[in-house]
Amino acid sequence: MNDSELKKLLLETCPVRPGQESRAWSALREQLSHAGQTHSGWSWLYYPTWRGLALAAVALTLIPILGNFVAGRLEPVALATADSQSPGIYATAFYSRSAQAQVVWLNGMDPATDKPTYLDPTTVVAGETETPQPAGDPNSL
Amino acid sequence: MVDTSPDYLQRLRSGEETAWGDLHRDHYPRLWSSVQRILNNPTMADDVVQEAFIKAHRDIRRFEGHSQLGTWLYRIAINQALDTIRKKQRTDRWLSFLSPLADDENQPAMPEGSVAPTVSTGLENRELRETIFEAMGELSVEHRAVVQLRLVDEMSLEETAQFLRCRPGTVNSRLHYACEHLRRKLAKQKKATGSET
Repeated sequence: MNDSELKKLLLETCPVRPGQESRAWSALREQLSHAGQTHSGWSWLYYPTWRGLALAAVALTLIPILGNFVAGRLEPVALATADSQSPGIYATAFYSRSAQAQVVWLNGMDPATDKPTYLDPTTVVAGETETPQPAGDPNSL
Repeated sequence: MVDTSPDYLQRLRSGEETAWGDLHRDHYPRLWSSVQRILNNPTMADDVVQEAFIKAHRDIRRFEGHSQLGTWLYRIAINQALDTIRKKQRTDRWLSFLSPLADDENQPAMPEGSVAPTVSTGLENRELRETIFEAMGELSVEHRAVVQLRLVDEMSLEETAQFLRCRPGTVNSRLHYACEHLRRKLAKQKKATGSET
């Protein structure tokens, strides 16, 4: 059997079954109508594409850099201010020797004591009977 | 044939449904049969041909009309089929690595009506076609692809090698092996038929 006879026989294999073409066209038409709707100029923004991924990578790199650059030039935004000369939240700060800590007392709080009530009970606090520690940073806890 | 007339192309580019319907009707049977001969899996062939049309729909603006529209579409479908095979082979390698039994599930399917009906030809030809279909199924997908591209489509040696990403010598040796296999099976079938009668 020569090549042309073989080819002729091969061409007769794998025929399309009756109705197959129309079924395939129905399925394809549905797909194409979806494709037509989604392929607007900006569809790459909201559909996962390589282009979108590249853009996201660039954005994720640039946004922190630009944010840092801009933030460095802006005044920090304060959530609360205290001014001793005007009504509002007053704060007084002092160093407590017995607590060995810098205490910030906000106006409106219960009167402060010089006992370190905020410390964990198990924490050993240097008592007054102990030998005084060498002077370090007074603001350090 | 309205294949690459500017008017027809314009209708395709504008996404006109009737134009795409005509294209599908004209080219689907040949594309599906060719892809099925390579894949030997009708479900995969359905998917591949559909994907090829979707790609064509997406890329029709890039088609400049240097070749026939059918040829362009055929290339998309064959490339899609070969890509599908490569992906499947990669997946199969992983599956066989994970579970050696998975190989048994990937045997090629033998669809009903896989050979043409015998309306115009005799019983002997039908048997020959069934034999050749079965013999094609026994070949590896690389061999089937060579048979389809080189023997059936009569692509050049270089073009076939380029399509299949192998050397021209490999194409020749695969074609020789595949044709010998098909001839041997056909001869065996003829001999069996002759001994029966």
